[in-house]
Amino acid sequence: MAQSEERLAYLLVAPTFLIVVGLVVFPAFFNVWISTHRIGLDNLNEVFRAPFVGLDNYGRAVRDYAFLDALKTTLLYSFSATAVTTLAGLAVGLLLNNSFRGRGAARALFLIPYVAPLISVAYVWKWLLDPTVRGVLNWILLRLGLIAQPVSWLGTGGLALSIVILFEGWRYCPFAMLMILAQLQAIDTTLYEAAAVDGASAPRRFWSITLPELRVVLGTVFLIRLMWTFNKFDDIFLLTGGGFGTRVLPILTYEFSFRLFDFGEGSATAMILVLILSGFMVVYIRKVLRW
Amino acid sequence: MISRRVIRILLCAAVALIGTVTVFGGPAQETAKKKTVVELWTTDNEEYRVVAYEKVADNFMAKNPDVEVRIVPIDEASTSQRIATARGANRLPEIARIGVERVAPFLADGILDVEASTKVIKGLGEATFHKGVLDLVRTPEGGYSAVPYDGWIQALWYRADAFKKLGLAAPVKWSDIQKAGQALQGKEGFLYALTLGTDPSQNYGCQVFEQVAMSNGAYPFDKNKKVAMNSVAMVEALEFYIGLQKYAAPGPNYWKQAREFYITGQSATLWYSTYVMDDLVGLQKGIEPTIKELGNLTGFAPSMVGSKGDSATYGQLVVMGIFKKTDVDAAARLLSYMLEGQDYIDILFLSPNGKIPVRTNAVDAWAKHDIFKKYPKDVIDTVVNGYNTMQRWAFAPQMGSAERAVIGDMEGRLLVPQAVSNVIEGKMTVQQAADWLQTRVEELYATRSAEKK
Amino acid sequence: MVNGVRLRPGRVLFWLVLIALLFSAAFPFYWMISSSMKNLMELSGRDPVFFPSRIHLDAYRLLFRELGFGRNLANTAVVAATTALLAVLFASLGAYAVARLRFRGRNLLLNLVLMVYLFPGVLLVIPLFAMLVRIGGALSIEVQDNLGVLILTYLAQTLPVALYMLAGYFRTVPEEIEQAALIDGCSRRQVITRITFPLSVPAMVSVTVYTFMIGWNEFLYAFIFLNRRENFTLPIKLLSISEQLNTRWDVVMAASTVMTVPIVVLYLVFQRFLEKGLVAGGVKA
Repeated sequence: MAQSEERLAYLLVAPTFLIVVGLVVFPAFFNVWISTHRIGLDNLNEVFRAPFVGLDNYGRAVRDYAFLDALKTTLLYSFSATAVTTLAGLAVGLLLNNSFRGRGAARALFLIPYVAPLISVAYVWKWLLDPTVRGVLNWILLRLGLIAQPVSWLGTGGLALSIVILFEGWRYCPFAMLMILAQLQAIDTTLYEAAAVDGASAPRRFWSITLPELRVVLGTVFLIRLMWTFNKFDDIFLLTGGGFGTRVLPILTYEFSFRLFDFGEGSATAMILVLILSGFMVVYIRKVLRW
Repeated sequence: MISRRVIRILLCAAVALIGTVTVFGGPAQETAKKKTVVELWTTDNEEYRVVAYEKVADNFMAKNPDVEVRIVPIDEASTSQRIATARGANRLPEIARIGVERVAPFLADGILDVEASTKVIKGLGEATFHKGVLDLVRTPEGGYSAVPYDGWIQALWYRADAFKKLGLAAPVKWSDIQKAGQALQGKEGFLYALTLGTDPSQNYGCQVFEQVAMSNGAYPFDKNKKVAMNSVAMVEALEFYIGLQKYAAPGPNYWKQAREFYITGQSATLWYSTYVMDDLVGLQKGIEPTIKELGNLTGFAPSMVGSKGDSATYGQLVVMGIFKKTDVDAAARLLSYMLEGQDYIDILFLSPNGKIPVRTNAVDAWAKHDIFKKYPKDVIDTVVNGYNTMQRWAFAPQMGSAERAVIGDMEGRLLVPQAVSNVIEGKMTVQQAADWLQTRVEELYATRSAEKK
Repeated sequence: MVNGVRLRPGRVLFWLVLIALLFSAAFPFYWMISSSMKNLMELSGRDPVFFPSRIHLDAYRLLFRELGFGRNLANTAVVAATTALLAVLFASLGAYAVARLRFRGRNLLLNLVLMVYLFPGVLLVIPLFAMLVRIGGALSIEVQDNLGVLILTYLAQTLPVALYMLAGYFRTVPEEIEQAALIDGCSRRQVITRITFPLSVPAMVSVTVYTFMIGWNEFLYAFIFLNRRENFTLPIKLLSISEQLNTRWDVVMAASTVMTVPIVVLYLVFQRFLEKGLVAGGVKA
C-alpha cells in the first residue's frame, strides 16, 4: 500500500517536478557553469566548447567600475524599499482594521496598485513624473511655488533612487497590508480590553500589545519582500533603465550580457547576487525570526 | 495500483502541452525547406516604412520565386540584445541594418560574412559607390565587411531668426556656441538654448560628443595607438560639452526630447541628423512644429570648429550586414536588388533627407524629391557630399581593426553618455570622468587585443 | 465591533489619512485612463488637463487599427489562459501528493519550491535560453518567437508557488472525509476528483487567477524570447510603442489601460479568493 502510494505520488508530482527541475534548477546549475567560462557573441551558439576560465569572470565582475556602486545601490534600494513597503503596509493595515462604512471598497481599491500590470503602472508613473510641465507632479509643485523649474524626477541622481523606492512601496504595500491585516484581526481583543482597564493609553497599547503580536508577520513580510526586491529587474529597468544612480546588480547583469556581450561576466554577477541574498537570509532566519 | 484515470489525465496534459508548442510553434520551419528564406531586420520600423520595404521585397520575390523575404522591424534600442539572443539561438537573420560603428566589433566576433558583402559591392561595381563610403567598410585584406546602404550627417540646427536678432554668429566655433548658449537661455521665448544628450542609456550623447571631440583633435587613440581618453584635448572637449549644460534642458534627454523642444519652440538649437529636415517643414506625421515656417527660420551648421581651429563633421553610414552561416547567397541577391534602380529610390524616399544615397548613380533621382525644394542649394549640396566630409573616430587613419572594435564596444557600453551623466550629477569632475573613461577603454582594448590570435 | 487601535480623538485625522492614501493609490489609474482619452493639445499643453473635455478615442483607434494591438492582446490572453490552466492542473496534482501522500523526497520538494525563488529572472534567462535552443535544435522546434515555449517558461515560474499554495489549502480539507471515502471503496483518483478538488475550489480559482495574472504581465522572458511584432505579448508591445519616434503618450496610456482593465476586473470579481490565496501562499513578485 505504501509503495503504490509512493508510485502514485511520484506520478502526480512528475509534471511539476520535471518542469521546475528542467527549467529552473538545471539552468541555475548551468549558470554556474557559464560563469566559469568565457562566453561571448562569437561562441554563444556552441557554449560547450567555451574556454574554462575558473573564477576569472568573478574577479573581473567585482573589479568592474560599476560593481561596487551597483552593490551599494542594491543594498540601499532593497532595504529601503522593503522597509517602506512594510511600514506602509502596517499603516494601511492599522487603518483598515477599524470598521467603517466603505471598508470593503477601500480595501479593494488599495489592492489595485498591486494587481495592475507592472508595465502599465510604470508608464503611468513615468508620465506623471515627466520632466516638463506636462508632468502632473511638476505642474502641481510649480503652481504651489515649491519649485522654480520642472524637475527631472527620474533623471536626477539620488532623486531617481528615492522615486524608485517610493514606487516599490506604493506597489507592494498592499501585499504587506494583507498579511499584516490578517494577523491584526487575529489578535485577541481581550488583551486590549484588559490594558484599557489598566489605564494604558492608545500609543502604549500599540507598542506593548500590537507590535509584539505582529513581530513574526512583520519579520516574514520583510524577508519575503526583501528577497523579491533584491532580485528585481523589471521595475527599475522600466522606470529608469538603470541610470542616474539606480543601477542595481540585476541591471548590471543585463548590461554585461546584452550590451557588452560578456555572458560569463553577467552570469558571475548573477551568482554573486544569489550568494549575497542567501547569506543574508541564513543570518536573518537564524537571528531575527529565530526559526 | 496506479489509476488509469490519473494516467489519462497526465497524458491529456502532455498532449495539450505538446500541441500548444507545435501549434504556436515559431516561424514556419516547413516552408524553409521549399524556399530559401531571407530575413532582413530593419530599424526603419514605422508602419509606412515597413510597408515600403515589403513592397520592394515583393518586387524582388516576383523576379526570384525561389526566395522568400521576411522583413522584421525591430526597435533600435534593443538591436544589441536581439542580435545576441539570435546568435545564441543560431537564428541570426540573413541581413540586419546596423550603424557602421557596429561593424568592427561584429567583424572581430566573426559573425559577418565578408565574402558575401564583397560579392554584392563588386557585382554592382565599386566605382558606382561614393569613394568615402567604401573606405569605411574596407577590410585590411581588401574585401568589404558590410554593404553600405544610406546615411546622414549631423548638424547643429539653430533658429537663425533669433541669432540674427541678437547679433550672434552662426554656432560653428566653440566660442560662438557658448555665446549663443548664454544669450539665448531663457530669453526670446526660449526655455533652453540647447539640449545635450544626458540620458546615459542612449547613444545620442556619444554621437554629439564625438563631433565635439574631433573638432578639438581628440580621439580615443593617439597616433601611437595608445588610449588617449584623458588627453588634454579630450578633457577640454569634455569640459566644453558638459559646460554647455547650464544652457540646456534638464533631465535625461536624448534625440527625442532635443527634437521635441526645438520643434515646439522651447529650445533655440538642436543637434540632429538631417532626418530632422522633414520635421522642420512639417512633412513628418506625428509631431508638427508649433512654430510656423520653422524650416525657413532654421540655420544649418554641420561643422564644428574647436579651440585649436580644427573643423569636424559627424555623420553616420548605415550598412546592411550579412551574417555568416545564413543563406548568404540569397541575401546577396536581395541586397544587390535593393541597391538598384527605382526600388533603391523608393526606400531612400522614405526619408530622403535622412537617407543619402551611397551610390552615385542614384543621386540625381534622389535629389528630385520635394523636400529638397524647401531648402537652399548650399544646404542640399552639403548633404549630398556628406560622405566625403564626414568624420568618425573609428575612421581616423591611426585606427586598426582592434581599435575600431574597441570604439564600437565603447559605444555599445555607452561609456561616454555615462561619464557625461556622472559629471552633470556632480559625482565626478571632468578630469575624473576622463580618467575613468581612460581606464575603461584600456580594459576594453586589453580584451580586444588579446583576442587577436 | 471592537477596534484594534482606538483612534476616536483623531477621527478626523483617520479619515484624512485614509482619503490621502486612497487617493495616492487610485490617482495614477485615473490619470492613465483620462490621459488615454485626451486629444493631443490637452495632453501636451503647458497646463495639464484634469478633466478631458470630451472622450477622444483616437488613441484606441490608432492602437487597434494601425498598431495591430488586437493581435498582441490575443497573444497575451492565450498565453496567460493556457499557463493558468496547465499550472492549476499540474500544481493540483502535485499538491495533492504533497499534502496527502507519503513519499521519499516530499520535504525536499517543498523546500525546493521555496529555494527556486532565490534565483532572479536575469540569472536564469541566459542559461535557460541557451538550453532551450539546444533542445529546440535537436527537436527541430523554433525556440524564439514561440509562444508555446514561453508558456513553458511561465509554468516553471508559477508552478512552485501554485503547488505551495494548493498544498497548504488541501491540508485544511479534513482528512476524515477522504479516509471515509477510501474505506467505502473509492479509488484515489475518485477521491481527488470528487472530494478534494470540489472542496478546494476557492484555492484552485485563486491559483488560476494568480497564474493568469503572471502570464499576462510577465516582461523579461517575453522580451528575450520574442522578436517579431506580431508575436509580442502586451508588455513588450507596450515597450515598443513607447520607444517610437514620436512618443504618443495618449497611445501609451491607452495601451496601458487596455492591459490593466481586464486584470483589475478579474481581480475584483475573484477578490475574496485571491486574498486568501495571497496570504496563504505568501509570495508574489
